[in-house]
Amino acid sequence: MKAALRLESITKTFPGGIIANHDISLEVYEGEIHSIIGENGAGKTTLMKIISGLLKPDKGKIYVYGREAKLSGPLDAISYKIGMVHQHFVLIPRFTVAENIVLGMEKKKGLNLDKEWINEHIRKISTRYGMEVDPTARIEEIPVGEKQKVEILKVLYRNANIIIFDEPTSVLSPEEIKELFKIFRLLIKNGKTILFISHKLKEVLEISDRITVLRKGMKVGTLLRTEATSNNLAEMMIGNKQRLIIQKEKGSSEKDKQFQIEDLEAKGSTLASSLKNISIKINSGEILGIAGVEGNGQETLVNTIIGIIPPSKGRIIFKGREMNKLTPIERREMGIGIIPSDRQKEGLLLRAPVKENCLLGYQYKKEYYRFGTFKEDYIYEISRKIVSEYDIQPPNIYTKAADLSGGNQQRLILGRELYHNPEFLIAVRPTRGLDLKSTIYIHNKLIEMKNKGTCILLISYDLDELTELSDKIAVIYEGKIIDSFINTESEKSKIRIGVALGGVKYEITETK
Amino acid sequence: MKLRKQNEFINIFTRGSALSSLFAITIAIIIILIVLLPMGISPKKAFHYTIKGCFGSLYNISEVLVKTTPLLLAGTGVAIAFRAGLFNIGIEGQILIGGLMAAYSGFQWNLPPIIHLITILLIGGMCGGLWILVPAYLKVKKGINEVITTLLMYYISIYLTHYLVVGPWKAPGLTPATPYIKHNAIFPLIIPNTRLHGGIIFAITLVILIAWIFKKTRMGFEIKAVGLNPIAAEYAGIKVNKIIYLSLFLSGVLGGLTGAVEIAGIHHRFFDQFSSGMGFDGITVALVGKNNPIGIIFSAIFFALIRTTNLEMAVSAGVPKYLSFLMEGIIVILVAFENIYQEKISQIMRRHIGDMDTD
Repeated sequence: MKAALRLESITKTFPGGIIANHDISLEVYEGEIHSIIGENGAGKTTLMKIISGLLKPDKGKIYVYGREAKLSGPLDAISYKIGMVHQHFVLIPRFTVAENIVLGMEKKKGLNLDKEWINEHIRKISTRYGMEVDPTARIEEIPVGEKQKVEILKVLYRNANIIIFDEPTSVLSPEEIKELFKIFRLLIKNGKTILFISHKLKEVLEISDRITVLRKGMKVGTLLRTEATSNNLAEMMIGNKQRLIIQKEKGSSEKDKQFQIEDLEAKGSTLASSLKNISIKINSGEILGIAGVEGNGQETLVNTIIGIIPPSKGRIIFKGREMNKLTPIERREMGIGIIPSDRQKEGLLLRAPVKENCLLGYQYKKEYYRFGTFKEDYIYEISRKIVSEYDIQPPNIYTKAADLSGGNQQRLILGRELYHNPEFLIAVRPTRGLDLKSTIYIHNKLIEMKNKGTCILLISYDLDELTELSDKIAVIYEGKIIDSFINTESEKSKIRIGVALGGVKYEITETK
Repeated sequence: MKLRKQNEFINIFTRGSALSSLFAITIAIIIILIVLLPMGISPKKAFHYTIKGCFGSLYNISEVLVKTTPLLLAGTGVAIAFRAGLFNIGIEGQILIGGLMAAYSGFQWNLPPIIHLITILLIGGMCGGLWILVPAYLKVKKGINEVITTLLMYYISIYLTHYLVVGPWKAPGLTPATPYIKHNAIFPLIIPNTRLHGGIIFAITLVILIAWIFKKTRMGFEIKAVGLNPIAAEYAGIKVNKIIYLSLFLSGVLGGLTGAVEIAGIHHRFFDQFSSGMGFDGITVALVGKNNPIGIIFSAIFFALIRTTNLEMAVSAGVPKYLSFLMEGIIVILVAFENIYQEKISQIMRRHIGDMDTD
């Protein structure tokens, strides 16, 4: 088979001596979907940036269709027909779809954009690849899935033959992922070559022809799809077999430890995210998983529980006490902890040291003060404990939170919340964007808390996570709980969630 | 315990914050020395003027401290808002209002010694604080940027105070000024036959108190949290709007006090635009002092030294008085762009001090 792209011992060292890529050689065949997997920090993104001309390797050569390519900028990559679809979209919200697609390579008529030609051309490409988008719609008005299509069209408009997708599924719902994979197949059919970066094994196994595993900047190996299983890939990625989840124990139904919501209604930022008549109950030592597509009221639910949004109807009851009128601090004092969905935006003071982040959300606690002044030594001890117990790297409490990697930032939040022994923990997408090792770590910690008797509300888009951890699962759709059930068997639960995600309640009679 | 203290100390430098101010100051001094060369002033001579102008006599030393006082108060006022992520660019307005109201309560009322002084300081501070509540309200309720509103309130304060000193509160005579305040309302002098009054002690005490609040109390922590990340602060149960009101109010109080202390200590009456931009200087002081009260003490003294040196050069060598403004400008630009070179500096520092990651 012909190689569309060949890398020859690529090495890249960053200032400070961090080896991001070490002697990586790789062949990507024409017309294949080649997945690159590895944990966060394995060097995937660096490698992709080198291929797309954003970074220059210290050593090594790149061949595109057999020709040596000197890539010193994104424009060079375009001239070699290499395109990249970024993980975080690089689109201008105020511009239309068409304007974003042609930006930088505008087709002009006189001084103006040749809008007719452009719209026509975009329509042509988009129908060929099954990505119907309205070229005249503004980016700010279209959903996430569509935005990604615009990113792909941008690359296709530039005639790319080798397309790199950097973790494209991390922002998508399961439905949207399915659609993306359909697009992948159409792209391949039209002679394109795809490099797919991911750390989700299931997706990689579903779509790839071949899979290359990176670990700590080095290539571990390339497998054919037929040789790969999630077990051997995971082993290659993390290097050992620590995947054991702590045994789950049953919860208790003591009334005075329950968390309960009755007929809750609250206004969200959109109609779909406004809560309508929500009732849930979590027993002590139980994990309730909330499944649902983003924007269906999860955020409103969390904000209502912690007291940022006042409910318009209904009751929130914890340990037999109604919380509706309590301030956010009073609610925390009752023992509510939260792992927010966006660790950087909602959970941390990035420019403050780890030590101060260990205090955030618990600054109300009297034990931290003596005569109204911080007990420095005590806080120092506690931060040291959190850092060592949750293995935060580097183990320095004066490191700024911004300088920690994503996994360590999440450990910091987890450590902070768990250290204060919450009796009710809200975990929103607790493993978002984390590698396998950190994910396993966090899952184990959650189970540990559950076994200690904490009520846990787990909100996630990751069906594996939900079905692996939850005792009960509720599916939220347009602000309503449309289905809830006890999670006994993962595969069955997944199907049931899958149905409910689309707004339909699963009927037992329909399946046999 | 000892290890901890050391670590904290070094981390200040590896963070590059104090360093980038020192760097900015060094570069600015070098540029100014070059500018001075064609005027016939060698670096050696310039140094001589600094020594003579600032430390030549007891009176000169006292003048440096007199200039330090308002910079210290205004700089701290700006820093309180900065800490909460807010920019009180119109602190000059609060200085005018605070100064005017202090003068009014100083000439209008008759109170016993000390009590009268305390009263006019309180009035001045409170009025500065109330003056900024309008921008604070607009910020919280309507989301209007405080940079615009505090600046607009500054213009209102110029004309309001102008109206009052040429109109209803004007003292008889030619100058547009209020009557002199009562003797009991005047800050006592620390050194006789100089202008050095008790305001410097008041200011330093206040700054240390605020440093303590910043570092050691829940309020200080919450202000910082809101400044660094209001969303995370809200998730942490902090009432963000309350902190916005509180920090802007305190910032305004410090502004009002700046005016009141100048009236009670130096001018003893309010005249039109008496503040001559000390609020804007306060912004520079806060920037160079990195919003850290202790840093602000140093940066306020530094700028007072520059001013005094400049004055000495103007008198002895005919160097333009505006040189110190040029220097301030250079420093502000360098500090504002610190991100560009901060990373480099801290890298170099780390290489020399060693790896700080192991605790």
